[in-house]
Amino acid sequence: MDPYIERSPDGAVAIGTLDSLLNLARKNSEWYLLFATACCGIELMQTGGPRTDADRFGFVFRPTPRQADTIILAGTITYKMASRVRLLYEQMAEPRYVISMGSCANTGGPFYDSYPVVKGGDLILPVDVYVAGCPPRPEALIEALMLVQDKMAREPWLRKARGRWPDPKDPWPQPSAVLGSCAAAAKGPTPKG
Amino acid sequence: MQLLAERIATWLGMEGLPRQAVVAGVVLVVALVVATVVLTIAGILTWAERRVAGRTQSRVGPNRVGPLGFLQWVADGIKLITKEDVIPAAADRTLFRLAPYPVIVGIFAAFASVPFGQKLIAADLNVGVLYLMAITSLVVVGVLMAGWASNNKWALLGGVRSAAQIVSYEVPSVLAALSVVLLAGTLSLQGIIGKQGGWPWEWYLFYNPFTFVAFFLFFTSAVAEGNRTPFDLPEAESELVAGYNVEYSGMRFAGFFLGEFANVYLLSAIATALFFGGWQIPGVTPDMQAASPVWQAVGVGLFALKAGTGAFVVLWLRWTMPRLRVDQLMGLCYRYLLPLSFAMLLGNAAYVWLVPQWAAWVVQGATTTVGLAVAGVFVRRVFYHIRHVGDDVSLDLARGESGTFDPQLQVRVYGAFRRRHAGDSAS
Amino acid sequence: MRAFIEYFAAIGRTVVTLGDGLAVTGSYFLRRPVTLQYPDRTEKPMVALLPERSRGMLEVDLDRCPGCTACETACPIGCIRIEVSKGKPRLITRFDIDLGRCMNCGLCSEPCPTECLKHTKEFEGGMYKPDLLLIHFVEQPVPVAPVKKGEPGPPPKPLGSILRRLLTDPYGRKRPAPAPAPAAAASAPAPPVAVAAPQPVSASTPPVSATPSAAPPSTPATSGGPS
Repeated sequence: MDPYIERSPDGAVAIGTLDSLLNLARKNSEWYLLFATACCGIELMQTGGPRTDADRFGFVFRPTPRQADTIILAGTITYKMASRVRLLYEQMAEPRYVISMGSCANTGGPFYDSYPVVKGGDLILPVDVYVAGCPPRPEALIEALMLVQDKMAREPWLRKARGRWPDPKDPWPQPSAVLGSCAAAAKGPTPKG
Repeated sequence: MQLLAERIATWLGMEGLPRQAVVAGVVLVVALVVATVVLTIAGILTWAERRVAGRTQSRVGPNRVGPLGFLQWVADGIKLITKEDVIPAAADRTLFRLAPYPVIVGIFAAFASVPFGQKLIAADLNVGVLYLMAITSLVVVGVLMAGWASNNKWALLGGVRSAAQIVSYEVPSVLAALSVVLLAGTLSLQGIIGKQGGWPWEWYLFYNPFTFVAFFLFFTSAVAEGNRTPFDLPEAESELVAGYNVEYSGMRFAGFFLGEFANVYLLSAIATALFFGGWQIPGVTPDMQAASPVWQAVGVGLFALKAGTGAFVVLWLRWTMPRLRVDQLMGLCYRYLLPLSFAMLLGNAAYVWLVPQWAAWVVQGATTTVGLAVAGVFVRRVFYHIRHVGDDVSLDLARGESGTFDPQLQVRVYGAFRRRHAGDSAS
Repeated sequence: MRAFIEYFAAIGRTVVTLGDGLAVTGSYFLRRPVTLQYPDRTEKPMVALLPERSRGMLEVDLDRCPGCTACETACPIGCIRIEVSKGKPRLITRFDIDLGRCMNCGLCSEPCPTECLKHTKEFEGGMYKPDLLLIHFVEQPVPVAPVKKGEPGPPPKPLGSILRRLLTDPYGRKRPAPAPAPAAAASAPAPPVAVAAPQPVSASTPPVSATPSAAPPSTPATSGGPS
């Protein structure tokens, strides 16, 4: 469960701030933009597919940037495309997050020496999570989306929206003891879906 | 006819106060209650849609937020409130802000005359069907406003498409509903339900062949009016990014979203009232139901069950059918639905005029038998498809026993699949 | 007349095909979904469920590495960097692989004479900083492994164990040592690679944030400013 919500010993009562509640909602409804620039897009589509069902966590795609929370830089970004990517990002509504998916978006990848390729998505957008792989497996993208969830849970959005956060005197977002989803091991199948 | 509000006012013993003030206050409270109920229904339907979509595509759907992911819609709603409300610089600000409201008002106001139960209806209008058809047309205004005010080509195209579609499909939808009105002799939804009975053969769905066809015409037109797939051209994401709500974010988008899903429930509720006997319980007369609160509750539950099933079918249809092309859409309406619904209306009129009562019983029984036979054939088809494709699509087989990938096994499975389907085209 | 028949035939076709389509999708409501519920609800760790020859992140076993730099030469995008000191004994002072740039083509593992550079099945490479995907395999300079014909050399380590030790968590902190294998994985017929994935930090284990070197992100919000 969310580490920022305290529970009574019997688990019947949970106490948290309003920010915790909002974050709980925000992180469980992370809609990503249906946007891809290259072959990573195939894995991006597959992530919503039957075998790796992204909708289990509430990750659904939105075709329009206005309604998306996360933009996934899936694939090689050329200089010509860069301005469009930037435009899409600017069209998204706050709060918004960026995932750099695959080697091309991380560093330019195989096209590092190529003249028309942007050498990393973080040159044009504030990337939150970098995913390794060429392309990453759908599960790796799920993990990245869950890392964004983890990031959401550490942002007091009410305070941030009013410009009162980050605040050095307010260490509200404790570094998470949960090391992302990488550490999650199999617990066996659950009979009910 | 007495407004529910007036009944409540009398019940509370507030006759002493100025009547208008009491009625206004109670109306406000009732409106809030209805709006809350409708919002909840719409929210639950968004969750149901995603579960249905998941199972249709052989995946799971939301299952992490609450039991079976049931609280997914709450999370989505809260998140949409916290999102920034973007208003594009080039947009018509007033219209842009105003546009979601006609959609919400059009759908939610229609729920005022939806008969959830024998006594659970906000306003039993004597022109109920007319009111429903009229007030839901307010949606067109909102959609067109949104499309125009966004100052975006996708939004404009979506809005215009939506307007054309809703206006076109309004006609067959009304004509199909008129068939029932003709039989019942009343426009009041409670009156129409009162003319039917609890058992399936007493429903208007199986009253005669003409109403049987009219139901499907009504359902198709209503789905098209609600901009649902296969008629979701206004939001076709492969052509128009998200249609008329392409520029909307946050709570304003949620308005359109909830309006759409409330409309799904609304059309199922109207279909239930018109064709499926509404809150009528098999073997219980309306008088018995009026006398007992228990039967009342059962009736409300039965109505919710029928309408919920209808909504499920709409969701199911959405994940089955591909989207129509624009010209096909209009062709479907004007070449098929419109003449057919006219024919059904005329057929019903002739039926009422010509067929004697004893023959009507026979026809009713025959139609019920045919309808149930069709349902039986459908269920057989479902199990045929389960048998035919079987678990060949399961990844477990291709994965082998030791959890390793076995290409040979996959080839064998695929070969079996091919062999089983080899005779399909011949048979 | 012909058009008349065609009109009703079209309606009939529509109804039949639509009904059959609904039956096809309806049959899926009665089937089990094929989803592998990735992080926590799978029978085995996801890595054990991957196909036999799936190529994930690279790892190198320095105990067997002869320092020949064949992989560095073979890499078409230069994401491997090796430095070997001169003199006796020759030491590998640097063996870096930029997993953030690697394109998993497998050209590096083919020329490797001792098969010490291999693709693991590990795929979970989500990081908050891109530098964390640059893996330094040399912690202490190690002597190169002598290659002799017909000699097997040291036994290969379990695939992925080296990488899993070196790959940090998304903040750049060391991962906790893997707990003993869970019962589910232990009872399963163990494939050669099925080493238990690291356990989630439960309440019983001390939180990792206590390590001083772990620099928690002071300003984790890179996602635009407040509106």
